[in-house]
Amino acid sequence: MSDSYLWFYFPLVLAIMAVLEICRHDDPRTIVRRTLINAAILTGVLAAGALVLHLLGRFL
Amino acid sequence: MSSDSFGFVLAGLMLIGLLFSTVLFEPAHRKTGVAFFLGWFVPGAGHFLLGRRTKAASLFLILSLLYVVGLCMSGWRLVSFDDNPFYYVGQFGSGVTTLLGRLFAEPKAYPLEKFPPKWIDPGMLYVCVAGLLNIVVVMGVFNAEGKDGAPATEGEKR
Repeated sequence: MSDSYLWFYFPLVLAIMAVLEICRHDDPRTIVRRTLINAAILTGVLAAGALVLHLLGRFL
Repeated sequence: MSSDSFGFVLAGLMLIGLLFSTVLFEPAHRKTGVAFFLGWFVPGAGHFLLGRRTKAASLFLILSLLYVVGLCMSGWRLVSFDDNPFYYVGQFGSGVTTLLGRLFAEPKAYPLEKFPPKWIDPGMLYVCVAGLLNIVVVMGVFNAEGKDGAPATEGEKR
């Protein structure tokens, strides 16, 4: 898979998180803050999982 | 039923549900029932009906943008059942966009020249996610309802 697919990931995740937070909250600042936090957490989890798989594939 | 007619049938069911929601729901929740089916048909319309104008506009903008960008990336090509069954079903979360896409998009159009062909799959994913997110938005209509079916006040909002 090309690296260029990563560029499609960020807008999609931000849109998903924004919609979910808009449904839950009314304060725009809270929505933006929680959207960014949740997107960062999801990205971190996915990156950590990818790193683990990469290491497993390389050393096992 | 062919896969092509499924979109029309679903859009018809949405309209029928919208019409019958005035009968199916109790008077106190009638507006929410109408908002549910309206929101299913047009993203954000349910929240608009319940008086959440800003929230409705935000949801409409995000979901519409996601849908249009996805369609553009895939060369205004609809997600067909043969392309991906999961994406195909997912796009029906939003009624009017699916109906418009069914009426005006080219079912087997080639991708735009300025975009590489491999962008078709992410484009279809965007379209699918826009539909699936609208289902979440529609369910959120019940959270937007306040006591006795009235729009929620500031204190009742979650």
